[in-house]
Amino acid sequence: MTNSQIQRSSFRDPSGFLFTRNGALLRQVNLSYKDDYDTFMQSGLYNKLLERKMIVPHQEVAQEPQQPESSYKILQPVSIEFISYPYEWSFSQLKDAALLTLELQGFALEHGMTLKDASAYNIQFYEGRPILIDTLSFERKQEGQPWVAYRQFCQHFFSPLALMANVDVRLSQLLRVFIDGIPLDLVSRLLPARTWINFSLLAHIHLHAQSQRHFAGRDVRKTPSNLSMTDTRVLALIDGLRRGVEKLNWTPVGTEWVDYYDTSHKYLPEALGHKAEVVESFLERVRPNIIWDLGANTGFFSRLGSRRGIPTYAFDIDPGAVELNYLHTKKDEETHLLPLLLDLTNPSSSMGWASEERMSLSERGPVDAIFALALIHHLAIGNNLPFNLISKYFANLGEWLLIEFVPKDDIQVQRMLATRQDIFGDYTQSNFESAFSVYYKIVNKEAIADSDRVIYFMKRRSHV
Amino acid sequence: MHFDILSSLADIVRSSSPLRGGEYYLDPGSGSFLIQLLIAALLGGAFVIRSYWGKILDFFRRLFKKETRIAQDDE
Repeated sequence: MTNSQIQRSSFRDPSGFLFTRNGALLRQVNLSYKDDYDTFMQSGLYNKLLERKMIVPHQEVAQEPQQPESSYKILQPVSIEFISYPYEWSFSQLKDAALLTLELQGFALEHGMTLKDASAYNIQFYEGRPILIDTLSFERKQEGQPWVAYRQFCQHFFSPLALMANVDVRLSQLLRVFIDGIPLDLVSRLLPARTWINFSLLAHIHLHAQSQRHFAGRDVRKTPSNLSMTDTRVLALIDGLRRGVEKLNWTPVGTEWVDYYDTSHKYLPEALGHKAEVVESFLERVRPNIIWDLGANTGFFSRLGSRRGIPTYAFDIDPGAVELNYLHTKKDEETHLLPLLLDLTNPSSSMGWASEERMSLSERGPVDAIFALALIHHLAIGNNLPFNLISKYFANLGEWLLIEFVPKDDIQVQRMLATRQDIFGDYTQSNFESAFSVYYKIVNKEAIADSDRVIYFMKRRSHV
Repeated sequence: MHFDILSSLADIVRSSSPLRGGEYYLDPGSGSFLIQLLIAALLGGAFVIRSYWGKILDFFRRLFKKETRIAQDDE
């Protein structure tokens, strides 16, 4: 019996849709998109993008269509292991995704085609770099037509980047509220006055927002012939957007973060070396296929996994840590490590239509192995979470757990308690062990040299 | 904030020729469509100059070299 289901996020574009059948991810191309698909494949555009690793590779397969009456072809794209979302990306990840989108549009125009959408959700990180996953995003260009996805590009990419660069990097989280990108009138109000003298921000945000308000609900399918969109003007618009995006910058260097990111300063060299040995022995023993490193900071321990060729996802709450980690992966051209922004006390939830379009973190698991190093005190003391709730959630995310217990007299915990009343009488190693033993079997524990911390190997109990 | 450029644009729009009809699954947005035309028109000139800038420079370099050569020949 076949088990076939249309992907819950695949309903907007009438050109086709994604579905899964017996575990395989497939894409139906609809008859209505036939001419555009054929042009895309035969014009050389697909091969050019493939050569440059800008689009997800696919094969045409002889599978039964999911909806035979409207089907033209069935494609099997390469499966992306972990789907991440723009609100989980650091500044440079979003910027690279924006530049990729503009570059895609540039190549499309060279081949007589255009991007018909510019959604940030069409971009994923694959082998360390952004890639377009929507094969049906291109259509044949019509002479004199403006870029239909211009508004979407501004909302999905230009707006969050402008806010992150000019106001506060944490404003990327507005993408969690506004699923189709941040409304331009809001962005225009949030940006400081000095951005009115920056041509890109003035044009693509401020005037764009004013124009939207002015022409709201009016039919503007008539336009003056001297304002028609010649090929040069389309290229000039894309080039202008690219220049605008490239000028937006954010860097954590020079802030309080700089020292904080240096993982080594929190440990004596012996302790750091021993901790790394313990992580290595865990990897030798478990040999996981995927690792989620929760609270990864800049990825020091994540790299012990990714350098063995294990796809490793390095989550951290701090946008600066994720940014530095991503820049490191780019510099070293690392293909097995993806840094992502995540507040574990409020992890990405399922959202969108019927709360089903975008997956929650746990829907994207469970995985083989979870790292929770130097994290427990942030959850238990920083967020008042009882051990049993932490243990239950971790058991939901992964089978193996590598977790570090940080005792109350540790300098980091003492620092957290310095400004508040100690209401954490239950925060003891024995309570930690009993709470985690409900969901996990403690396989091994090792005290870290020159430190008062202990690292545990745990395996989820089969009844959980 | 209201500004006149949009009103003038709207006036031109009212007495103009139709765009070729496209079938878009996205709503491009009326205001987004028009501001895009305006920005693209503004950027278009600069883009052309930038694209040809190298050629323009080459032209003047060649011209300058030619004049220098002529001057040297005269000497």
